[in-house]
Amino acid sequence: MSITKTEAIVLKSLKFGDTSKIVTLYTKDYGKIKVIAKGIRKPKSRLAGTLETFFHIHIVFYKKLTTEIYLLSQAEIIKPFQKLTKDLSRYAFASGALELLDKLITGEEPNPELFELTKNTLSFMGSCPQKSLEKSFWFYVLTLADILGYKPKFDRCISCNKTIPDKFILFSPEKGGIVCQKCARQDQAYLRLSKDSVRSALKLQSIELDKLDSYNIPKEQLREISNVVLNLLDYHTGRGRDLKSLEFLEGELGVG
Amino acid sequence: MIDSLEKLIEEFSKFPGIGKKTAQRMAFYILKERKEEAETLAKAILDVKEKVKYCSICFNITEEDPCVVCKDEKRDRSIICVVEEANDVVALEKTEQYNGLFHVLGGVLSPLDGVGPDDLKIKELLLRLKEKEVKEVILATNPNTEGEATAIYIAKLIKPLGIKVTRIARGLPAGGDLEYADQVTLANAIEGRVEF
Repeated sequence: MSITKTEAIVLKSLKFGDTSKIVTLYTKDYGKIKVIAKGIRKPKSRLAGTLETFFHIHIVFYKKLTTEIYLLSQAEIIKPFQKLTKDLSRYAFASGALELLDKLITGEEPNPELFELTKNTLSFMGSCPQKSLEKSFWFYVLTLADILGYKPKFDRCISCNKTIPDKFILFSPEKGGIVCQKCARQDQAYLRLSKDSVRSALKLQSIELDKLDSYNIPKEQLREISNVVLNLLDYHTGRGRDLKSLEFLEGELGVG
Repeated sequence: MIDSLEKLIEEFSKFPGIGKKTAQRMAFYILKERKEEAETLAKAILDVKEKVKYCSICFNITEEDPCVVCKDEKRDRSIICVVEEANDVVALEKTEQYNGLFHVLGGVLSPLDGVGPDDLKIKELLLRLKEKEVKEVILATNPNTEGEATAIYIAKLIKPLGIKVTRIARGLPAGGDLEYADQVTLANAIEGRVEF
């Protein structure tokens, strides 16, 4: 057993017993972990108020090899990203980002790059103009796919590596990229994208987060891109569909 | 093992926090008790299920509809306190500081769990506000991420009606220690300070 320190983002928590909580964290140095925060629901607990969803925190916990849930000993807030709770659509998109992260990451595997991306995206979502929110969400999903090794190929045909001049382009979730008419086979399922959407997707893959504001992507294109990316992730992981946060956005706010 | 006893153990072990061993101890306790005691327990369980329902006005749990609070003529009808669950009403009643009415939402907005505004009693709250002489709505959802988002959502819906919307104060617990308070709580305590 060793006392370990790291930075973390709070994904979700579950009430446990009378006063405790089991909290799922995405940490910088250990990937996704679960910790038990004893007595946290008592108002006088030192941990109270530090483990809310979206919070970027610093934690100290007891890491054991024989257990799956570690004991949390200290937690301190670095940045609470409070603006995310002041607006329902920010709240829902940020929830969506964390939901997807939680679904795609299954165990302890350090990935500091992904941690930085998540932290920066949450920060961006808290301060960006409303119109950039949805863009930033799909930026996050595409970059997440890239970091995890599922980066979809949008520049050339994935089979013959030729550029595709067509107005509408086919995308193969199985191969993970766009396919030209010649390479497309009858017996396989493809999704259709407009040329403009492909261009926007390429831009989202290469742009820096802080420049996202200045780049405009029409709603229909975002919709096509989202359809492609979610299908791709779902094909390869089986866990990209049914994001509750997105259903929430569509159902309650009429966006998404 | 005896079937009926086995069944009882199984039923007890469904309770939250009760494992097989504890369930077994409870079952043996019942076995040793007098018959009347067991009947009282069985009746109490059935009574709760049969008599307790939701108040049609505030959605608090009650035996009679409308509930005691909603019926009480002495209560201040111009003020409604919005809470997440019925437990919160009990907690607030204990303070003996509040003399208005309640409204129980039955949960909080939580996109991660797929809970949207339609799953809560928000429409019912707005209906109440339209017909009654309400002057103030206190939002007393829990001071966490979900509770805060819910409060903000409701506040946005109520404000156009010209009714005063307040949020319960957030700050330091009685007997607490400044040094150990987290920065969000402390910042809220400073922000929400009152004249002394």
